[in-house]
Amino acid sequence: MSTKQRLILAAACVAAMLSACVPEPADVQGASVERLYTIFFIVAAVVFALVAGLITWSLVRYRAKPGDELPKQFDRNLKLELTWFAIPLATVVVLFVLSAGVLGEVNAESPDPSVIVNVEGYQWGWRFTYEGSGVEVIGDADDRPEIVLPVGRPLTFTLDSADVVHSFWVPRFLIKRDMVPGQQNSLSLTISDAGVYRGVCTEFCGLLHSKMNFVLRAVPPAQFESWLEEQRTIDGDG
Amino acid sequence: MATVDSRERGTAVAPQHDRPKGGVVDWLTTTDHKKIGILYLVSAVGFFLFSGLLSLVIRAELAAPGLQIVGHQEYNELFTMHGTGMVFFFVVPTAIGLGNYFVPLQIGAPDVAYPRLNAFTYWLYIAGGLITFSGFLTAGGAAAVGWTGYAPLSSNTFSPGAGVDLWIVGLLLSGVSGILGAINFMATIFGMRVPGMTMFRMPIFCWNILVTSGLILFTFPVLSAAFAMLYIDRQIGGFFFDPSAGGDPILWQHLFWFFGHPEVYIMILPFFGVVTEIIPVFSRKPVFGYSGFVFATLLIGGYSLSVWAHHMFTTGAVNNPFFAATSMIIAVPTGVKFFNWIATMWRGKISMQTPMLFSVGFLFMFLIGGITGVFLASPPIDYHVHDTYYVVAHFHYVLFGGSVFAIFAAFYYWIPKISGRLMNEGLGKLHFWLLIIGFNMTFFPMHVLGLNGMNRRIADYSSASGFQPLNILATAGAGILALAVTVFLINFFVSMRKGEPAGDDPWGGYSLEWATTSPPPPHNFHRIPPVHSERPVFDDRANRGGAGAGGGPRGPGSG
Amino acid sequence: MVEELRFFLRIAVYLVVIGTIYWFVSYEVAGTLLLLFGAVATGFFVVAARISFQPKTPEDLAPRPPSSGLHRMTGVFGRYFAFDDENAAGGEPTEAPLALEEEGFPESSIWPLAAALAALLLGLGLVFGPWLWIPGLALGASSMWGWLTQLTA
Repeated sequence: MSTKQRLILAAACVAAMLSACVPEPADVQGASVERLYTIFFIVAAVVFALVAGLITWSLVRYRAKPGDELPKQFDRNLKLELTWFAIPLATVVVLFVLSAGVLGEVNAESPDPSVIVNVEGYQWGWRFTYEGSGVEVIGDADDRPEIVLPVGRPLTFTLDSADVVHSFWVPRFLIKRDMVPGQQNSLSLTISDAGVYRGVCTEFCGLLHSKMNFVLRAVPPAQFESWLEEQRTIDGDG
Repeated sequence: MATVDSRERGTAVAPQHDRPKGGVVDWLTTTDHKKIGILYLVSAVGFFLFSGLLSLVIRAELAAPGLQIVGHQEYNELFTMHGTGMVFFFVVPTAIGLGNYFVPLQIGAPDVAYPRLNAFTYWLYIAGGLITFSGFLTAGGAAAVGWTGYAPLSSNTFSPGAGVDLWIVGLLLSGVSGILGAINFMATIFGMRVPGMTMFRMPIFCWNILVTSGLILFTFPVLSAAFAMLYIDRQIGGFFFDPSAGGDPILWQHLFWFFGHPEVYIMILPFFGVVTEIIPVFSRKPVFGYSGFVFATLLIGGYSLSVWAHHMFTTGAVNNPFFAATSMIIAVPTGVKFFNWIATMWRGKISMQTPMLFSVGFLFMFLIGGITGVFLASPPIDYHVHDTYYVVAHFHYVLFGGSVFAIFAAFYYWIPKISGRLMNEGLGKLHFWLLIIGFNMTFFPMHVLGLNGMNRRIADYSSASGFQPLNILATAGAGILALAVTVFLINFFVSMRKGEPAGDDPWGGYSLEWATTSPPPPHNFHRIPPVHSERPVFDDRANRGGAGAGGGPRGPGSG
Repeated sequence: MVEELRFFLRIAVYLVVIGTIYWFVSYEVAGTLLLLFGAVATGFFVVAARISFQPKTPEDLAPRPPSSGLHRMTGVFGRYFAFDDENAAGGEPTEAPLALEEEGFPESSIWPLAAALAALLLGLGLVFGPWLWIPGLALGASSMWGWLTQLTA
């Protein structure tokens, strides 16, 4: 590797670190999360720069030198203290209001989902049942299940667990929801981009937790319909 | 001096008969708060080294996809016991150890309120630690349920074997130990302050230990109750958390986090206190906004009791906006503390010796951990990053970048008082730079990994995921961290044998521990200076017109 | 109202307020009960301590200072909740001896270690079988006896 290549690699690493961004969202709800994250990130960067800058400035400017006298011993300023009580308060109030708005968006349930998938987690696999068609996709740690879903249609996942707590997450969707035994959760979203996405269990669920994965293939609606038909035939034959 | 009235002389303390010293029997039977403090600190560092070794194995395993070093079961045991050890047997006991040694000294008391209870508290902690970690010696291995022990995974059905039972019983004992210790601190602070030492003249460290003790009293009993219920479920056929028999797994999460979130503040508030002791001394100014600090600490303590379910945003079983609001608002008092720390340094005369160096490291690292905490308090963002490496990065920035940096600051600041010898500055600085480089190399990449979809508590990841480069970086960083801790240990052992004598007050300190000898006599003080402000030793130095009335750090390499 | 009691009073009032809000936004039983039990326990302590209150700490012994501006502004609320942090509010150093100095130090004692050993045995008994409780209880009882008799000796 040449020096130049190394430099480029180093620059790429730094750039990757600095642009600590969420992955590009593949669903409509995820896009809202991404916008919120970006706002938080900008606010955070400003706060960090301000506070870190003040600390650095104090350290550089007010370093002790030999023979220094005792500095002026001041220790209070009520107005100043109230000011820096108010600034973070105002900041978090704004962030809270923004979060509450986005929370409403991503929690909204589709009133009329075009596909409902009942997802059941178990140690250490998944059972996906397409409501209405009866198509079932099952897979576990040794045999990763692959499901197919349509792009641009409102989807609802109902989430349940057969044993311990699991959690349903497709990283590119930017939302997850736990699968708690004895409690039915649901997650509504609309996929915006076609593609093949990795899905994982994010709640530690025992021995093979790291192998409890699935694959989600998002395809145009027509292709989805034909896949569903195909599966139904296979299921019917079997 | 004959004309000085009794007030200016300070409180004379009658000489006491010295307690017997030295020897194993003495250490086993001591009721001296200073010796118990040392026992606490040494044991806590022991647990730190052990739990740290576990994490090195974790990092080595994650350096490459596939399983090279340990299997799934062993990996799950490793991260469970790493978390348990660090939280319950290192960070909290270190706070209790420092409090044990320095709270009585700082308030001018000869000992804690209940010295024998104090000894019992320590031995109970050791008993709890031995039982918890003895799981490694059983046939089924140690507990492998995560330090949060979520039900129903922690039930007998899904985690049979003695490991989880030992984990439960060990933590029960250490929980009782914590409760007794908290009662002792409260009684000591409320009842044993030297005349003149009002509540609002106490060092901030004592205030923070007080609030920490309050939090322990509120939350440890809840944890103990939760563990008792889990034990009943496992051993006596109960079904508190068993959904198949009408129990509720979410109840476990409520109980655990009602303890678990205040626990985070139990682990950080004492170290806020440490940093608030160090920064004024090394800036040669009084702490800025004393009552603001106290107020902020009380607010953090109070708020922390009402934020627990932000760990449960994704369960679909809690009121997310309520907990988002309470969790975000807690950033306000923390922000106030930051501005007060900066104002304390502002226009000071800052000398960057090792205690100050680590305190500054704390400021920067904890700043990052605090900011990412606000991200996690926002439910939509938490929907994405919950239970990913982003969370792992966040709480390591809080607990390592925050607590551990402050713990090392406290060690460099107070070990001269405990031992009578200064630590080596050169090795201390080497330790600092290795630590901060290794720390950021290990944990900063985890933010990126988490955002890009690497979930927590996985023994393995696929080579197609693209996670490997940053994991290699993190593992290399962990190696540097190990090196940094080794440098600290070398520094400690060398300095204890050959270190420069510290004298009573190597830093030009403000609080009463610097008015006595290093190490202090068994009854703590020969003479206690009068207390007219929150800086009695500073006032005393000025009144006596000693060399450089303001004091200022001496130590090697100062100036 | 002394500062120590205010410390608990503030917590109790906060827990009542937040517990009430929490109940009405979530109707969740476990958290509400934990918050309110915390308030009751703390409030009980405040009442009990107020009743048995004896002036003893440095603040109590000091003459009451004229109320500060902050206290006047906040009225009754301030009397119970505001900080009493004016330096003048503290007692000047007195020669009042601390209680412990008169009593001296407890001797070194083997009983805390023995009691913890007993707790270890009892704890292991919970895991490996109640037979461990026999030595555990025996050791626990004897260390308690030793502890108490040492106290009165």
